[in-house]
Amino acid sequence: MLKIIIPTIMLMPLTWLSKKNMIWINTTTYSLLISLISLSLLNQPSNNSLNFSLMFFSDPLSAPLLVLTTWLLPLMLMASQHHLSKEPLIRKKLYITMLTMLQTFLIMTFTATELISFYILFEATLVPTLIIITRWGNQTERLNAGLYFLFYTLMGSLPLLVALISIQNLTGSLNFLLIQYWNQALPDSWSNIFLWLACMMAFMVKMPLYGLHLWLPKAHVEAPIAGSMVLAAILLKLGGYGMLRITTMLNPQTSFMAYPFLMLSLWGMIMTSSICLRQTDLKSLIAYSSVSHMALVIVAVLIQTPWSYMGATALMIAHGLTSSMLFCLANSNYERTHSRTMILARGLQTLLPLMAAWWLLASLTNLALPPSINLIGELFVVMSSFSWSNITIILMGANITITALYSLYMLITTQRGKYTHHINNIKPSFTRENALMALHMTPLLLLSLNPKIILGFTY
Amino acid sequence: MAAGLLGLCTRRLLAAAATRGIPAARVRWESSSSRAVIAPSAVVGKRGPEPTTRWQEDPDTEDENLYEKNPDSHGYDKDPAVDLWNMRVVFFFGFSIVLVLGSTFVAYLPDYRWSRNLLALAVFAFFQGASPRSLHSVFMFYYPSHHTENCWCVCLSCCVMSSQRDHLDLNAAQIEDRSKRAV
Repeated sequence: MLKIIIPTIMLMPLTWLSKKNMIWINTTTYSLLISLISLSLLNQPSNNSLNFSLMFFSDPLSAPLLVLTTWLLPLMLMASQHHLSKEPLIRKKLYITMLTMLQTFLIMTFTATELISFYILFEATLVPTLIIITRWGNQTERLNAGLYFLFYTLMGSLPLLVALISIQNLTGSLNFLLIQYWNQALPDSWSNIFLWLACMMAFMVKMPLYGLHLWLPKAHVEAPIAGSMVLAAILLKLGGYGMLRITTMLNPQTSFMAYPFLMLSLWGMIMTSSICLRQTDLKSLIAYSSVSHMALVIVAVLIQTPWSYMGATALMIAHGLTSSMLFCLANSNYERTHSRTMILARGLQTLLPLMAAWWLLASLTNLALPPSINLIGELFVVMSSFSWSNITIILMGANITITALYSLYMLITTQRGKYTHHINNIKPSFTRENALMALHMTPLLLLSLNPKIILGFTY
Repeated sequence: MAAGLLGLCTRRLLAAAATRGIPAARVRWESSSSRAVIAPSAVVGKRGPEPTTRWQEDPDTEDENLYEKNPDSHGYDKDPAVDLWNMRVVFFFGFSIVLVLGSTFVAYLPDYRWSRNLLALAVFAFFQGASPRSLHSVFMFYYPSHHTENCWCVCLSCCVMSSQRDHLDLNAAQIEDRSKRAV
């Protein structure tokens, strides 16, 4: 793991010691090379996990998430170059340092063996994200967004710290590698019910579960492009990853404790998809879309069957790439019109036809068109939830329909129709923007050819 | 109805005053039958021009057009040389190195689950008392191109295992248990 962590940490001195005209080139190059190295983690020969040391390990669940994390850093750097072009040099370097610090914490979070180490790094990721949102966000609402983001997550995760210390006392170890062999069921008592809640709430807030999701639209909308990308693509998946890890030691309470959260998620996915149909703000629509997709992941994780775990893992990777791409597309509109309102930038297909092609591809993957991995994830989740309870097919089917509706609504509003008079002099698409979209879409399409690497440890 | 018509006239008068630059009279009319109120705009004189940049959430009147100074701009930097090299670096490392080499690496990753299943099949068959010939045919079915290697591998492993099996006196349940534990 040090072959990934040390180069990532070294990106910070690279940024500060690079010349003014080389910072973006150097950081983009080396972050791409780090993502190439991280692909080696996909070689998982063992049924169990790849143990690098006592501190770090990877298994078929964390390896794809790690590759997604390292792949996203160069994309974030490319997306940020334009809006930072007028900033002073020191601030540009500080921004890249924040992104690199966040990247380091995320890599260590996904590969941590000890749960306390995982918790500390999970909390540590909040700090650079908060700085990015509140310092580089565009509107005054960014301060409120930062507060919501920080305190929602902290409120959810402080009980987790107490629970982890309690479990450490009970079991003697919080190492993932050992806990998976902990066969003792948690005795049925009120305190263990609260223990279950304490363990799960942090990840429910992070996902986010419908009802605890209010921080997400604010944070996603007010963050600059790199902040939105990392929030949607990786930070939400921290919640899913944490839930997948911690449920191994929370049986048998999960079988009955999961019901309220399953109901909330099943209902929440319909509600948030429906809210998307009424959104005027483009970034807000994409943010609510993320809540809807993550509700599917919550349902999958709480059902706890092999297929649902495969669906959850595939959906996390697919949604990471798709959502990040949608934010980049929204940002390309924002850089030209300086507005997030959808109807103010409509009819763009006539003016920017290649960008319209990317919009089409992103919208089609968002609505889980076959044979994309989005469909594979959603289908596994729908099938396993049907197996859990037949009635869920109604809600799942409604969700899939409404997802298709708002994806097409977003596409048609921004691309089709007559363009408005005030945008007929917008600049053509840059190579940077087209390359950014291609670097999102190509892995997504390639994974459709070989999805088994993202199906997790139950494949 | 009279009150409504009066309100309508007032609105038209005020609208005309606003658009034609007649100083708006400080008239405020309140309806007695409803809660309608007609009041002039606080701005005296001609209505100002429609906002063009104010509708933006983040107005940036100094928006720089990179294409103006450099028609071949790729969108990375103002300096054409840095812009060009940045584009080259992104395409070379992003596409040619990472995507091409990375997808080749991933495509050639062995299918460990398949090989584990094949081994389980072979071991189970062996402990069920299958002959070396039938074990060989199991491998041949999946790996027909590796004929010679298969023959040697199977022969060698069968020799080793058969010498062990002969020393063991196992019943069917023990054979099944051993074969399951072997994988």
